[in-house]
Order: sequence, then structure tokens, then C-alpha cells
Amino acid sequence: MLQATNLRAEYGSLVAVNDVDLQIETGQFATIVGPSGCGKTTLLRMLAGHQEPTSGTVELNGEDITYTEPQNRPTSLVFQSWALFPHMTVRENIEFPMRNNGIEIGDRVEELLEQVRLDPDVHADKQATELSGGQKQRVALARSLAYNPDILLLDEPLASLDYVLRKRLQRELADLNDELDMTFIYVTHSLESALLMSDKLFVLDDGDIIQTGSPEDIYRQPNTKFIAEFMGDANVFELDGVEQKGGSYEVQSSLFAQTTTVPYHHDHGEPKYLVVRYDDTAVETELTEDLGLEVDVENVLVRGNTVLIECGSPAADGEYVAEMPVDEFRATNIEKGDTVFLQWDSAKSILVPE
Amino acid sequence: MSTIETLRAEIDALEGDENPVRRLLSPPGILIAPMALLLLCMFIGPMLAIVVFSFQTGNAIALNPLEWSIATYQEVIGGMASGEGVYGDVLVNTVAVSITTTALTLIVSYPAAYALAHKITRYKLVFLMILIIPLFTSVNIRVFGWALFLVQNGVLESIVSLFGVQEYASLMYRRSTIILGTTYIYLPFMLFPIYLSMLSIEDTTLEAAKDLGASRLTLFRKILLPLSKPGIIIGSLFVFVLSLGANVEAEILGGGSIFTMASNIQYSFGYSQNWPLGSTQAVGLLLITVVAGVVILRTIDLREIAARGD
Amino acid sequence: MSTKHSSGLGDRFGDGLWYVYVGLVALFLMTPLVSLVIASFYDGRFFSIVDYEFTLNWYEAALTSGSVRGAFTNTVYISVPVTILSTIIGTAAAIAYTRYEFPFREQFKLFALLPIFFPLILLGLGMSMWASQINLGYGVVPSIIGELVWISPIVMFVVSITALGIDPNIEEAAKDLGADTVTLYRKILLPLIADGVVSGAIFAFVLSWNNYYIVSYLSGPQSTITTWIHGRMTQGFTPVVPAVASLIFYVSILLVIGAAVLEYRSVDEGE
Repeated sequence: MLQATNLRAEYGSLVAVNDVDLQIETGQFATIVGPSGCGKTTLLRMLAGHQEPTSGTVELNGEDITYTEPQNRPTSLVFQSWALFPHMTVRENIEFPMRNNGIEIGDRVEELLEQVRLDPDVHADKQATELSGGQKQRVALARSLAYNPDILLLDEPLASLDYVLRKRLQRELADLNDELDMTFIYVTHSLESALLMSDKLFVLDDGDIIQTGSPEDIYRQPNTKFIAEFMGDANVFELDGVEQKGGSYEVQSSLFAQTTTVPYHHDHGEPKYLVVRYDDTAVETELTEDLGLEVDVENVLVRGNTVLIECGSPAADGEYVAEMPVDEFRATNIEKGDTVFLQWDSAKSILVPE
Repeated sequence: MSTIETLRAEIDALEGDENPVRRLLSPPGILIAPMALLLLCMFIGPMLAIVVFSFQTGNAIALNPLEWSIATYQEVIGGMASGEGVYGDVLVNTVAVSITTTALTLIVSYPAAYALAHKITRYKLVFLMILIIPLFTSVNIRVFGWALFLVQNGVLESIVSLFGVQEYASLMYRRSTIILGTTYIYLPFMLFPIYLSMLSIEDTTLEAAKDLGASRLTLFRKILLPLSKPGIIIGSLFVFVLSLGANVEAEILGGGSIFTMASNIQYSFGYSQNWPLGSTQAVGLLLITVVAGVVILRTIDLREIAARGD
Repeated sequence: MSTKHSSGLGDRFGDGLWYVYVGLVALFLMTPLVSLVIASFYDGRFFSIVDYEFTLNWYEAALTSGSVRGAFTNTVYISVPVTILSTIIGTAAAIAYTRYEFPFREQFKLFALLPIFFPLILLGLGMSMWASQINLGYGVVPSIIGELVWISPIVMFVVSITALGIDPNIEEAAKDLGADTVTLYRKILLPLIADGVVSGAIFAFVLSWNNYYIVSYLSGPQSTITTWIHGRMTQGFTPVVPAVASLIFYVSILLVIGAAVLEYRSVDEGE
């Protein structure tokens, strides 16, 4: 188990990581997600030992490793730029950590390459500079795995790859995590990576961990408006009146006509916003659901097999979006310029504090 | 817990302070030390020597600063201000040579740098080599080569005589010949900075400008000139400062008949053995050099040069 | 269609003009060197392209002359140590500047590279006075130290450019994979900047080989090739001088081409 306690990093007067607590079980795939500049790379570098924290401790299975040098620490970092040694072959790159740590080489290079799905016969003796982006990423991964670290740290290593390749490698990383019984800590600003691969998610904003949990929990019940917006395409309505009713709140807003009751159970203060995801909403000429508002259709965008309907509200100057399957939308005969009802099942609403 | 931390921090601080030797012996301290030591002993020292000697009355340093004098400054500045005597000539010659050299090298280099960066594709390495090689050949040798070319019965005369020209005035020992020499010697120092800043302008930027209807003149004034400005600044300062220090050119091509600052400094040290007078003139050169050097180094971005890979 | 075609032709003609212009600049830069080489093979006191008489006599005279040989030996005694020491000093400073964080890093760069921009006459005469004040004296050793001041910064500049092209994470990656400091330098850092170091060393040798100003102030009674040439030059034309100068030039040109090829190759690989 990896445990960070009160971990803090300051650059002069700037606090990059603000007394963060972190607990990751052995074998877990944990993701630290947050916008750029939120301190996630600094946090990762402190876990890897490349940066000394201003204060706080890092413990691995009960042993304090806060000030252990990176070369003596059972962690391995896969860099965003991969940092392959350009003057070495793939094989030499992978043998490098094994030689440093006195591990017998044998057939291990071939094994590792197969593990990251590269053909050893084709790639082992290529120069590192001859590889494509995806291949470099795989070699960097194999090199990091080569000396069996307890923890693999990944600093957005997929960021510069194209969409299809990124998807495939995400899947492979998750599979590898299952196979290896090794803790993976992945840092990213991309929501799709975070949701797809992780067992546990840490949302970092401005140096603070603002929510921890499984991807599904966080997606379903974001702690703050920031997380709600960050986690995905969502409409946000400011609430005017809230009243607690047991485990739920009765809320109203000038933006939609109805009063509605939504479950809300956490201790971050009273709800301030009602959030509903694009794909939970629909537009129709009549109000058929129990929650909705009147809007003008401003634009219709086809996104694969769904349609994004961008709407403006005459009552407020906000912009709201509904996402519907293409066929369903076609059936409504709604066109740009129509006045319609953007609506959703009130049970799909999510309440969040500030 | 926080007491343990503060204790640890204090111990770390103590170790660092107590053991400066160890810190100096590990990187980057040990990597910086030789260069810093060398420059302190043999660069800062000599430059201080120039400044101190400029205030002396003889070829030795008086330990009592009250005996120092500004007589040489009065002589040099007075002479330059009145424009009479040798210092008047020196000032006029030096400024004329340096400014003309800077202007000429700029005019010759700018189109060449543009062409090398954006037009020349074939034999580019060959061209670059030819432009680099003079930089690595002794000033003496190059100036001597010009003398062989220009001198009576020299290479130029024998070429010209092929075309039946017999009346031939010697081109040696004129101010314009010195300028030819300095322009030649310092051309690469103008060409390469401008070439590097031209390289940073993407071909697509130029294409985009043309695409957006920019005429050749607009392209030059609004795109090329502003983007190559760092190179022009660096090159001009470089050439100006270095040509202030040009001595061999004046000596060989000017035949010792035309005095510039550098040759006058050399004369003060060599023939007349008047160190304070030579130092005073050198202090002027030193001030200009330091200012120009700092401006150049602040304008150069090594990282950008590395990224461009040339 | 046809207009497009003709503008293409016009462009090609325009491009041709650029080649002609750069060719002329190159010709200008080569003129004195070519004159030198022509003169070095010419048998006689007066040039004539029509009845040029080729001879190797002057080279023979140059190679057998005792004073040339003495000057040559002195030059080697200065250039070789300068090359070795400036390569070490310049490379170390370049590694510190490009691969480490430390206080006053930018100021260190500014200070260390400043001598490059100094007119050599200024460095030479300052050193000359300084040498007399600190009793360093004049001769081969003071010349070596003096040239180091100008050449080490140039090596630092050349190596820095190579070192800045390396992925900034490479040291951290190596440490992460268990490398200690010695392994880091031996297996990773030094091999990666090797090309830059070699071209820096070649530049250092060629610049030292050709240095005149600093040596003329610090070598004292010892003459080097460049001070020898300078002395003969100012005393009027002696036909052996072009031969000696040409010999120096041939060595320089070979080394510079070698260095440029190396630099070009490493840049190519870096991309």
C-alpha cells in the first residue's frame, strides 16, 4: 500500500501541492486527474523521488521513502516524452535498468517486449530513434517494467498519440495492470482515460484533492460544480431556493418552472447547482418529462450516431445542450430556430455545492 | 510530527553549510568550478588590470590610490573632443571604419542569409562550409591573402592584365582597403546570426503572407524584417565591437599609415611603451564591448538554436 | 494554367539569382585564401596567370626551415594542451548550464560566454599586463592559459547546443531505472553529447592553431606559426610565407570539415 500524508510542494510563494493525503492499495490502477497546472505532475514526481516535498511523508508498505533517491526506490516513472535513450537500441534500453539492479537478463527482454505486444524479432535490435510514437511508448513501458518495480508511475504517456492508438493502449495498460499485480498510478488531464482504466480516481484542482472514489461514483455524484463540469458534457443550472427534505432537497430555479426533489447526501454544504448531463436530456415540442425549460434551438450538430442540439434560453443568457440519438431527433421534426422544451427525468439530476 | 520535520530540515541545512567542500565536489559545483576559476583569474584579472593601469603614471601600479591620475584620460578625451592631433584622426578613422564595416556586412549578409535559409536547397552544406572556413583561419593569413591579391604584381593585377588593362593604381594602403579587409574578416559574424534568425521563420509563414496578398515589399517590411531583428542586432553589435579592435587589417592593408584605435593601442604598448595611455584607450573599448556582449547574450536563445538544429 | 507555368519558370529564374548571389559572397570569402594557395605554388616574384610556373620549392623551404620548425613546435605545444583543457572546462560548464538547476544559472552563462565577444586585442593586452603583475611571465604556459579564456567559452557554446537538444527527462529516467551518478555520465550523458564534444574539441584546436592576438601578447620570445607569419609579413614579401600560411590553412580546413560533418550528423539523428 502506498500512502502519502500531508504531502506539500511549494515553489517560492506558489503552493503546487497543498497537504495532499493519498492512499493506494497494492495492485490498484489509480488515476490522478485534473486540469493542466493543477499540481498533478509535481505530485507524481514526489512519489517517484525526483522532487523533495516541502513537507509531508510518502510511505510504501509502512516504510518511509519520502527522501529515498529515485534509483533506490521501487517506483518507475514512464515519462510523457518517454525519455528513451536515443543512442541505444531497444534491447539496450530495456537491459539498462536490469544491469543497474543486478537482474539476470536471459530471455527477459523478449518476454517484456511480448508483454507490451511488440515482436522481439522485429524490434529488439532497432535503434530507439527508429520507432514510431506508439512503439516508443511500448518500449518505455517495457523498460520501466524490466526491474519489477512495486509501483509504475505514468505521466500522461499517451498524450501525444493519435486517438485510435491511444484507445488501444489504454485498454492494454488496464490489462497489464490485471496481469501483473503491480500498482499503477496514472496522471492525466483527460477524462476518458481516467474513466476507462482506473479502479480509483483522485481529482486534483489547484493543489488540492477535491474528490476521491471509483470513476463511476465520481461521475454519478461529483462533489463540486468544477468536477461536474470537468467530468463531462453537462448543463449547469444555478439554484434559487433549496429546502432539505430528509435525504433529499427540494430545489427551484428561475431557469425552469417546476420545483423538484432530488436526493443529495454529502457534507459539502447546501447544493448550489443542479447538473444534468447532455445525454440525459432531450428536446421536444411539448413538455413530457417532469423537469424542463423553454429554449430556442440555435444549432444542430451531428456527432456520429447522436445529435447535439445547442439551445439558448430566452429567460437567461445561458447556453444549454441536449444530446439525442439521431433517429429520435429526426422523429421530432425539430429544426434550427424552433422554440422547444429541453427536458429530462428529474431523477437524472445531480445536485452539487459550489 | 512537525518537530521531527523541522529537525530534519535543520540537520539538512547544517550538513549543507558545514560541508561546502563536499558540495563543491559534486555536480554541478565541480563542473562550474574550472570555468569560474579560469575566468576569474585570467579574464576578470586582466580586465581589472586594464582599468587600474589607465589611472597610473608609469608602467607599474602605484599602491597608494592618491597617486593615481586621470592625465591620460584628459589627453585622450581632450584630443578626441577637439578633433585635432592623433586622437582626432584615431576617432574619425575608427568610427568610420567600424560603422562602414557594420553597414557593408549587413547589406551583403542580409540577402545571403535569407537565401541560405529559404532559397538554397542544393549544395547547402557546401555553401555553409565555404562561409564557415574563413572563421577558422588566422586573421593574419586572410589579410595576407588579400595583400597577395591586391598588391602590385599580385593576383588581381595579373587577372586584370588579361583584359588588357595596363594602367593600374595600387589598391593598397588606403582607408577603403582597410574597410575591405574588416568587411571581409567580420562578414561571417554578421551572416550567421542573421542566418539563424532567418531559419526560425517558417517557410509556411512566408507562404501564408504571400497567400494573404502581401507584396514583396510588405513581406520584407512586415514579416522578414521584424522576425530577423534579433539576428540583425546581434550581428551588428558583434561586427561593430570586433572591428573596433581590428588591428592586423590596418597594419597590413593600411601599411601602418592609417591609425585606428586598435593600432594606436598596440602602438602605445609596443613602440612607445606607455601602458597607462594604451590602457585608457582600451578602457573605452572595454566598456563598449561589455555592453554589447551582454546585449548579445541576452538576445541569443541557445535553446532556440538547439531546437533549430543548425 | 499557362500563367502558372510561366510564374514557375520566373520563380526558378529568381531562385537561380539567389544561388548566383550566395555564390558571389562565397567567392568573396574565398578570394584571399585562393590567392594564398596560388601564390604558394608560384615560382617567381611576379605573378602572371599566362605563364604560371608551378613549384613546390616554397613548401620544401618551409618544411626545412629551422625557424618555421621552431614556431611549429611551439604552436603544437600550445594547441594540444589548449584543446584538451578547453574541451574539459567547456564541456563541464556546458553540462552544468544545460543539465542542472543552480542559483545564478543564467548569470553564470552570461559570464562564461562573455569572453567570446571580446576583441582579442583587448584580451591579449589585458592578459599581458596582468601576467607581468602576477609574475606569470611570458612563454608557452601563459599562452595556453590565455587562449583557454577565449576558447573554453566557445567549446561551452558548441557543447551546450548539443546538450540542449537532449530530452530534459533523460537523467531522471536513468536515475529512475537505477543508475548512479557514474553510470549516468558514462552510459547516458557523455555518449549523448559526444558529437558536440568532439566538434568542440576540433574547433578548439583550429582556433588555437590560428590564434594570433593572444599569443602575440603572451608568448614572449617564443614564436609561433602565426607570430612568425606576422613578423615576416610586416618585413616585406618572402615567398616562403604563403607556403607556411597555406600549410596551416590546409590543416584547418580538413579539421573544420570533419567537425561540421560530425555536427551535421548529430543534428540529423536528433530529429
